[in-house]
Amino acid sequence: MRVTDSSIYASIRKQVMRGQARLTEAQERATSGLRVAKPSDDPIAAAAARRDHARQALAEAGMKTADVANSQLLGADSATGDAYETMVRAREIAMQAASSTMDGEARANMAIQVRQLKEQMVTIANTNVLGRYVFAGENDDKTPYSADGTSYTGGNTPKDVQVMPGTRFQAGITGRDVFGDETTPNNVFTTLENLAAALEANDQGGAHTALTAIDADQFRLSKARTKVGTMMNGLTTAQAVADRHAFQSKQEISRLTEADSVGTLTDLVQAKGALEAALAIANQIPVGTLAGGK
Amino acid sequence: MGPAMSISSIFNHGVKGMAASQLATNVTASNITNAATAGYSRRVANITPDHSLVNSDKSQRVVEPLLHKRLLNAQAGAGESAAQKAAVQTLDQVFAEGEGTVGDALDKFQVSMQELSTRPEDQATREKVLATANGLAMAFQNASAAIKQARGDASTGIADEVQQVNARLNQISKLGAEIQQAEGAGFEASELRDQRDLLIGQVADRIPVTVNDHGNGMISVTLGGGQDLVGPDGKVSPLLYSPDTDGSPRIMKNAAGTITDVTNYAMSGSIGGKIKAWEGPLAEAGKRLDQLAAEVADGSNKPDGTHVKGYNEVHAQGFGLDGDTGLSLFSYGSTTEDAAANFVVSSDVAGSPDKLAAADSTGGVSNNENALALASLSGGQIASAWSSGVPPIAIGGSITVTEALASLTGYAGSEVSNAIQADSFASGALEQVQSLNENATGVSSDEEMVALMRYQRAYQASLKVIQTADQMLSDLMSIR
Repeated sequence: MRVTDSSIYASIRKQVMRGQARLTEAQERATSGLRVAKPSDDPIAAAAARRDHARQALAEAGMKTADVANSQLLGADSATGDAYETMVRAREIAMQAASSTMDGEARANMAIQVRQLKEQMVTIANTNVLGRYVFAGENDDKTPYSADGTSYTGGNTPKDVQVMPGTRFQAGITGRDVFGDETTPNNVFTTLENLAAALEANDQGGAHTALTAIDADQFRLSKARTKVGTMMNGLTTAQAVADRHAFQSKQEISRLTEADSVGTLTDLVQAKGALEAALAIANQIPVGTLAGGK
Repeated sequence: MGPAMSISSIFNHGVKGMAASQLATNVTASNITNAATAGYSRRVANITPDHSLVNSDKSQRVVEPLLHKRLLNAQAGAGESAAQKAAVQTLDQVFAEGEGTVGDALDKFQVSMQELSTRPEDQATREKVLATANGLAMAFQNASAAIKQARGDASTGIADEVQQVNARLNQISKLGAEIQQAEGAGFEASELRDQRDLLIGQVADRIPVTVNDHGNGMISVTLGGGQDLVGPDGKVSPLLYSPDTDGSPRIMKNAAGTITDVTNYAMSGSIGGKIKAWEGPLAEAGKRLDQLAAEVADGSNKPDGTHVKGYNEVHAQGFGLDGDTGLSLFSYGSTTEDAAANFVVSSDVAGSPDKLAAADSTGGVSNNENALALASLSGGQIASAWSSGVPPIAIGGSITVTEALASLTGYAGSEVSNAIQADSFASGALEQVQSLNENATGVSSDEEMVALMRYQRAYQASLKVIQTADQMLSDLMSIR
């Protein structure tokens, strides 16, 4: 076979260029840590990674949503608990007042306490967490209850949130579900008002009647608290699912696009070796007699 | 004849031999000098048995017509795939992961929708929705612009290449006339032929041509379909680049005023590669991007005819904090064509966060019903029917925006990856043919070194012949 000078040099040049290209690629992989830095590196992996990026972003957003909703629900939970305790205190007073041993002055003093409990109850009903009134439904930018608890301007639709795309959770409870309908006699404010009025009037029978209403209020409050607890549980579960989704997506992205470090290092060493060999061969081209050899 | 005549003919042989060796050494010297000259075909000295000086002033170019033909083919193939690769690689940047890409912007927009459903009353959240919507618009516009730019570059590139081809066709024609003249007058024209072959190769890099040698120094350079670019008479029919009104690249041939569309014969070489990239992956990716943009805004129809809503329709159902309803979130002009380039946040809501319709009725600031509907669009309610014929991934021929973008990313990656592989294959094929041709026609300095020694010896031998004849003559003269 006839071999010419240019073909020898062309061949060496080709080997050296290839070696350099390979080394550059290996260096890029090693420094970026990425096996798939652009879609053409592995189209299928790049497409799959795109899906996982979206999934991860939404799952992380879902976790934040669950956080925000949970802090509102925590507020609702402790407020509902406080409301219940308030009614327990009211019940104790009503029990004492319903006994015949009390005189008018004692009942009048108790009335003052009940009025304080009512004020407390309004404060609880107007609980605000991070600027939002937790019992005000969609109108949570404004105080839902008037100072005497007789008027409610909050919304009646409890707020839903989305933690994972396509799944909705109720994450809130409105005033009427917790404190009762202020347009009827069945609400904590009316109950406390009636009790206070009965005590002021030294009305032993009225105090006795109030007990029934208090029972109904306590039942509603504990039901509401259970409901809030269930929502929190649901949210916690959803948050855990979102967390897992985010984690899995992240892992998947890493599996799809990241270079394994051992392989990268081996590639780098090999590529360097190949280039050095090509350069060494270039030095071994015989220098003919013409070019000053002997 | 007498004996003196015989001695003088010995002198003649010696002189002829020295001249022949000188010539051969000259040819060898020329080969050595040009060992690294591009396009140089080695020469061999043409020494006839009787050392005729008339014939020996010619050296012969070593050419392999068959290899040369294969070489032109391989050059066109390599030119095509290299040009196509360079043009479509833009898609790799457009659809890579990273800040500001459509994928990143879409994720951020969908996340902000989710946040709006969590805190519909919050001004900062509303501002963020507008900002990410604007980011999505910018990403669509940038991606579209990058693809358009790549197509524009391909188009400008074709125009340049056509100029380059025309310039070379003229030179080839001129050289043909010069070669015919020189060789007709008995001079050798190897260098002119080398130059011409080099120019033909440069044409073949750009457009697929074949060459017919007419034996009289003239050649014709022909495109497919028998379209002569340089005729047997040396007449040049230059190429014209005249894109259609929609920008589609068209290559025309102007044969003395007769214009012929030769685009179909120009589909290889760097011109063909650029045409293919323009018409193929770049056009398709641009179209799919436009479709995606339009569907993000207005949804799409599933193959069964049911309409799946986009962000605009869902947004229009809701109410802003200011009670406005029926507003669009995005706009993109009137047609799907160029939807990505024209994609903007609708003037209905731009700059007015209060107009974002998170609520399903007027009143409550924290009514998030419509925001929930908007957020759930990311979860699979927008379908993309891919009317352009892209195979749907999900059941029923509908896929989510995320899926549509993932599929587009996969498409872009495959096209670029295919182009890279094709280029690697074509350049490998070219290298192989180049190497074969080079080995046949190139200079080997070792071979020339041996030739040099051989001609030196031959020269010395011829000198010896003269010396001997001289001695014989002198011996003859000294007879007393």
